[in-house]
Amino acid sequence: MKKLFIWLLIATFAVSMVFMGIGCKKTEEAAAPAEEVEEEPAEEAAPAEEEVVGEPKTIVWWSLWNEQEPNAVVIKKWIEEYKKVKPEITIDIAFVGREVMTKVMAARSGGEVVDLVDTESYVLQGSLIKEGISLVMDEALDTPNYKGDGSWRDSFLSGTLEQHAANDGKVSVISYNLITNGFIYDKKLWNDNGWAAPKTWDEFLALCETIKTTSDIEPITQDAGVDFYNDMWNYQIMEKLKGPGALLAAVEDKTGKSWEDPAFKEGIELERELFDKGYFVEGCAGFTWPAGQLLLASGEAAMELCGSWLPCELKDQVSEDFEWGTFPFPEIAGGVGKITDMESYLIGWAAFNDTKVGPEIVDFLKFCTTADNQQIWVDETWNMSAILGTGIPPALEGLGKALLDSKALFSPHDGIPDVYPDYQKNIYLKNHNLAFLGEITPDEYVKLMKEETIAYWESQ
Amino acid sequence: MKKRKRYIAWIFLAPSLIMYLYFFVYPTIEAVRLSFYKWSGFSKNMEFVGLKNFSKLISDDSFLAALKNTLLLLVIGGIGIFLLAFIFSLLLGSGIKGKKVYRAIIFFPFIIAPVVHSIYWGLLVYNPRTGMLNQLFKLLNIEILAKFTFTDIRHIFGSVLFVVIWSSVGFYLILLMAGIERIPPYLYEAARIEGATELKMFFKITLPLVKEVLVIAMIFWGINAIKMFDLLYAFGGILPPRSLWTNAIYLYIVGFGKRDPIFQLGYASAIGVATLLLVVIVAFIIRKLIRREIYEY
Repeated sequence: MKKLFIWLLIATFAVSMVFMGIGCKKTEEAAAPAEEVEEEPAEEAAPAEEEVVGEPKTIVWWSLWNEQEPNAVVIKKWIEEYKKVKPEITIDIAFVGREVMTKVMAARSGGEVVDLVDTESYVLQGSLIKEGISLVMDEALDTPNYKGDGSWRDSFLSGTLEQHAANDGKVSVISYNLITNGFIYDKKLWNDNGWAAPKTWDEFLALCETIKTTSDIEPITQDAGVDFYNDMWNYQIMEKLKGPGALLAAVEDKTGKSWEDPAFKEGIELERELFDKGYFVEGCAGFTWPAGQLLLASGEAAMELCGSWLPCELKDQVSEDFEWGTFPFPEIAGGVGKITDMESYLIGWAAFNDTKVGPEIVDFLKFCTTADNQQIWVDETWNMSAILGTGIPPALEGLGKALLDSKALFSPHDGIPDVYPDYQKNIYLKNHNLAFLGEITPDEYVKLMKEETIAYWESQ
Repeated sequence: MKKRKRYIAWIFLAPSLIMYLYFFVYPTIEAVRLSFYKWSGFSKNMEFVGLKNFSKLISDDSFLAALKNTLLLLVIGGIGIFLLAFIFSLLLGSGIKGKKVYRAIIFFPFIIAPVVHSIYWGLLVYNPRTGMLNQLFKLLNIEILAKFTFTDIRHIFGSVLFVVIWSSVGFYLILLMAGIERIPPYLYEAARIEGATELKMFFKITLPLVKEVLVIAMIFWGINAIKMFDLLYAFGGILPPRSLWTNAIYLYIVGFGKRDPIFQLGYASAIGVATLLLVVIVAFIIRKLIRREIYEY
């Protein structure tokens, strides 16, 4: 009896270990092609010529949008329309929300197939491209677009494909949603009060003073509980003072000396001036998102510096007579940056290089990036598109025109999170937030940035 | 006969044991293994770095700040919860009318989802402009408190700690009351006849006889506090502010990215292993500090 029991136990454990083994093996098998590809990435480029498709195939796409968002509604329309022209292709889409990469990571580790993912392009750059597991699209981009009236590459706004290319220049991210950054306000409220969009920093300060002294409206609202919202001020000021790339260059300076440039201190002083003069809404330092932006919607604050997603996000909260207005960040006297230097914040697709439906993905993405389909995106989501020939949503007219006229595009946070996400989170945003909220002085900020930059590079 | 019973017990235990091994022990071993690697989680490229991830922990200011918050949550939160739980249990045990109603009211916040707590407190109670708290102080003409920002960078941790205590105290009250109600009433009656005060009875009868339940409750709290994530994470809206980072939140940010594509799963595993060690140490300390003595009554 005792022996029988012992054997029974051993057998049970053996079975469970076999199950565990199967689980591990599955994971390894699922990940194996990626490793093979990393050795020979050239073979995994998206095919230039479309294969003759006839047999049923499925593209598994995980998206950053949530099912109830207008963005997801448009995507479902695209899929429906595509099904009509290519019935043999099934687009198996999962709207998994903003933490899509975390979920994709877990799913693929567990052996689940995910062919295509869309999220912020810089996140794709910091994950799939950095790891060398993305499908290179260059060859496909040089083939005709969906309508066949030009190359697919020429469908995109200049610079948007290259913005998140790999170090060797290869393009894997097909960006479609174009976001920018600037001031957002209620045009009707401004017209009623005779306020005009400023073009220079001095005009901006004068406007804030006018709003503060001549109305019961507070000049600027800010969700100051969110560090990357606060940083919008710093990177915009630095773009205007030093031009695109200066912040990133300071991060990359291993000696930390670049931070001694007086412009970095000046940037913080300009931000603090807004606090000191009482231009930010009272109590904003204690706001938990979205308390700040709701003040813009309610008309208690005159403007907010934010991404161009804000009108779409707030459209259900504003009154019927609210008229959306936007203007770009003003120029600063003595700075090298122009008012036409605009942020380009992209959301795009990337496919995994172990996908078995590469040609189908290319065909589907060509379909999604036709000007007609992108116009639906613009109209229904109030976002801009990275595809040429699409219009600007009326709510974003000011920023949209400035973006299309722009001579120099820069990434959000000057591209720091694209390349050094841990530095961005643990050094730059941390110290900037302390300085922005007045917990440390501009001098202390510069000192901390210098010291921690040196320490960061020593630890690498 | 005894041996036969033991076999049967093992047979019944086997399924849960296997599940425990597969869902807890195996992932734990796997996490320990990963903590020795530099790995993003996306590809199969894993670089063995030995103890480098652990040495990085010691010099990582963000981790140390998160650890400090975790320990503050554990200690200050623990003191607040158990102090209140004891006070409430004494009040409810004093023969007060409507005991069950009060107990239900105190327990109620515990059943509310942490995300709801974060929205309710963050937007409706603590909002510096329209929040109930500031408005109340305004009504009372207490100018300093009416303008106080409970959720700014300096005070948000304390404010959230209060929410944690408020929402958790009911659960620990129920645990303690279960222990207190088991104490035979004649012990108190005898003590009263001897002239003992309520305070003396608490320290000489209640506390020693409830010790066993208290140890379990404190270990529960220790584990919950160290791995607390949801309420603090949700409190920041889009992004938890740095002042609210605990080990669990920092692990998530480092391992899975949150707007910034950090994706350092190997390092995140090291944070996880350090957190597990912390749980073991805390459980050990609690058991050592409150030595169990068996009282028979």
